[in-house]
Amino acid sequence: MTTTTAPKPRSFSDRVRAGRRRSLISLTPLIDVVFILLLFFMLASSFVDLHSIVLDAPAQGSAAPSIEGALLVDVRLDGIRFAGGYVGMDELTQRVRIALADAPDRRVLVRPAEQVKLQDTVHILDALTAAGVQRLSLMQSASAGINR
Amino acid sequence: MQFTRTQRPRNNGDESILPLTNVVFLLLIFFMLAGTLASPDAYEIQPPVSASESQARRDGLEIEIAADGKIALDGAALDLDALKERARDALDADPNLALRLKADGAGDATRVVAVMQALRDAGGQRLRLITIAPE
Repeated sequence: MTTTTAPKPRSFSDRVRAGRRRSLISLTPLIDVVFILLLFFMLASSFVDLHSIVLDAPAQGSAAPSIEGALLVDVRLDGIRFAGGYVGMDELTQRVRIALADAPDRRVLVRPAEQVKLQDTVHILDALTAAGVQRLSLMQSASAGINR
Repeated sequence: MQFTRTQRPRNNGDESILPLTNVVFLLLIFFMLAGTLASPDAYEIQPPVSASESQARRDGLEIEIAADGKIALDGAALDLDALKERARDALDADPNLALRLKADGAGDATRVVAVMQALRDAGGQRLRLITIAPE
């Protein structure tokens, strides 16, 4: 913008120029408002990348284990139990993969025991998903159902 | 010095603010578009870390479970029976309602399962467990 002002006849373009300069001065309150808006959006927005695990399969009540053909994975404080014995994570995924080879629709139920952290259970859910399990769900252990 | 005074007329102060305004506007637009407004959580919750790929959606009911087992529905604390009742009311209106479980990774898994069971009893079909991506 030019800083020299024309003192000569007040033509239309001169008036436009003058109006423009006046609006420039009142820019400050606008900037104040924009700053406040900026602060608000900076503080109020979250950038956490949330994901989700689908646990749709409707598991039945713990008292009646009526789900036929489902694989049951027990998560305990001292390890993972599958098909009657303690297994490691690699062995679990391997055996689940074999079990799912002929019936991919098979449901897999994960049953955490008392005091097992959710994070550990989620690790096992992850491993099972990686093994190709489509229908995954959590199940209540028998004792927990009575206590609560 | 006279020289420096004439170099900076009053008018110049307003004009030098324009680039600043541009940057601030750009920042504002960035934060408005890129950030999603965080819903106020009733508790401090650190969701479990998972390799799950599916993005969390923001529709439906959000049930929060704190590390010590306390429950909240859409930011308001309540107990398991009240949660069941509220969920049943909401699911009667829309049986396909998605339920998002935002549970703390350090909490008891049995507590989460108990809440899930209560939600299933109330008629919930679509359950999602909120996780965060690994670093």
